Amino acid sequence: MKRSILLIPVFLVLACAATRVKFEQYSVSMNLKVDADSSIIIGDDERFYGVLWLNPILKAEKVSVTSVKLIQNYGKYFISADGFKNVWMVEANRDGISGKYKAIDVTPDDKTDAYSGVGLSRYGNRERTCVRVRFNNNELYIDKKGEVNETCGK
Amino acid sequence: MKPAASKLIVLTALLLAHFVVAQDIQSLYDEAKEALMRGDYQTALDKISAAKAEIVSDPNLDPNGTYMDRLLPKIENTADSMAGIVKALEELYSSAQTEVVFPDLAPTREAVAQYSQQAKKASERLLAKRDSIFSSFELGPEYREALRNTFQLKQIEQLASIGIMDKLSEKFARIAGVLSDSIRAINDRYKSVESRLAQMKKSAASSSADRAKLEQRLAELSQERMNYVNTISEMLVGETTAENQQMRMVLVDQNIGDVFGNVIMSEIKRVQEITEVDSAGYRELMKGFERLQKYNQIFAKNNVSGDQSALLAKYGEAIKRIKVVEPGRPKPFVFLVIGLAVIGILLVILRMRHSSRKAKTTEFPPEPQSPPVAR
Repeated sequence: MKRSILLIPVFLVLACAATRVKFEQYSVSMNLKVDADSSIIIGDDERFYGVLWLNPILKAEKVSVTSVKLIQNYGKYFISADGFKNVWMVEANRDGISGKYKAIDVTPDDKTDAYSGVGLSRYGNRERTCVRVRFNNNELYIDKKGEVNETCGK
Repeated sequence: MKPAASKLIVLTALLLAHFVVAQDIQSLYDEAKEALMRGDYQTALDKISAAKAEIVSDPNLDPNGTYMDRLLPKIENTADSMAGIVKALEELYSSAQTEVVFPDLAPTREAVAQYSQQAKKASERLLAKRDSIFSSFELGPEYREALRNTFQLKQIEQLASIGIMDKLSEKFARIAGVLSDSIRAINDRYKSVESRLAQMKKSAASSSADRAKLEQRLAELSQERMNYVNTISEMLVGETTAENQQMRMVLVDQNIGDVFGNVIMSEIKRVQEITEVDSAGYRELMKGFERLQKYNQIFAKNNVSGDQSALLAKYGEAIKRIKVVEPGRPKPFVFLVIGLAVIGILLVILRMRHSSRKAKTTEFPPEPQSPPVAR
């Protein structure tokens, strides 16, 4: 009896494994046009994966931009643009029609600086990939939790 | 410089070099794609190599192998296809240069037609080979379009449209001299026949059969002369290039412009003498007029003749003055006669039927009376 109880977790694990597929949620960096209603189409006009309204982000940044850079890492979107003071992390909610967002200031010591020459790319290995943020001839790394580091995974 | 200072400079340079030289893989990929969209596959291949080298030196730049395994091979294939097409186009151009050779033909009008036909076929073959090269490589439509701007493709198209005809320029220059002599000779013969006909018309002794014979001869000479003008214009069709300059000079030296002017003037005279023509004849005259307009454009463009638009306008006016008759169409009074005849016949038939019915009524035998029945 005790032995059979011990086997239950093994069966559960096997059962769960049977419904899982390998799925990596990431993207290459995208340069997306901001529409008049502050929305961006993730993808392009013909093949897109969602629409994101940036109104609160643009309001917080107090800038008007024509395009933003966006990259997806472990299912979360990271957004920034020239003139921004933050990188924004957006995570889709389960309801499928909203998301939560968070500002990541990669230069917390300097509250006045605005980024220029912003570039986003993924850096690391399959298990631990960061978003590499290039700005003002510097580069920093944001991990999957949204924490800023000088290196990725070291 | 002290060794410590120079070491510091080298160290600083190495540190800065990372920021100055290193490019995002994404940027390299985008630049490679942009280069492909311009048809610049070599730059694209360079960018692809640079991206691969960056990834090899630091695999962290491509965490999931997205660039190395998916994106870069795809555009590399495109770049390779483009390179293959361009190479094949270069080979085609070089082979076409040596393969397109025209035989020496006697300098006649027929030779021009044959040469033109051969040139047309050579051009069609060249364009068909170009299309077959394009279809033998897998390439997206946007990249096919990008290749339209490449020098190699333009070179082939130039050869097909102008270059092949240019190869004929030397032969055409020789033929042009012979044709000019011929057309001048025909022109002289035309003038002679024309003056004989004018004299004949004045003289009362001439027979109408002789006149008709001369008129027929004049029409034949006019047609023959027009054929020569047509052949010369055929040689001039296309772009005016340095290669066909020699031919143009021959035609200028031979005063082909004056000959052309004479042709138009005598055609005007011929048309002025026509008082009426049927619709088919009128169409024929208009066709001749349009042909002369086309020749004028070609000659003027090639500077072998001055613009003869004023003379041609007179020619057009002369044609407009000709009365067009429709021999096949019955005149209105014929309709009237036929109509009246039909009505007359109908009246006669009606009358005959009426009278025959009347006759039947009167001639009907009386009903025989039945004999009394005995009771």
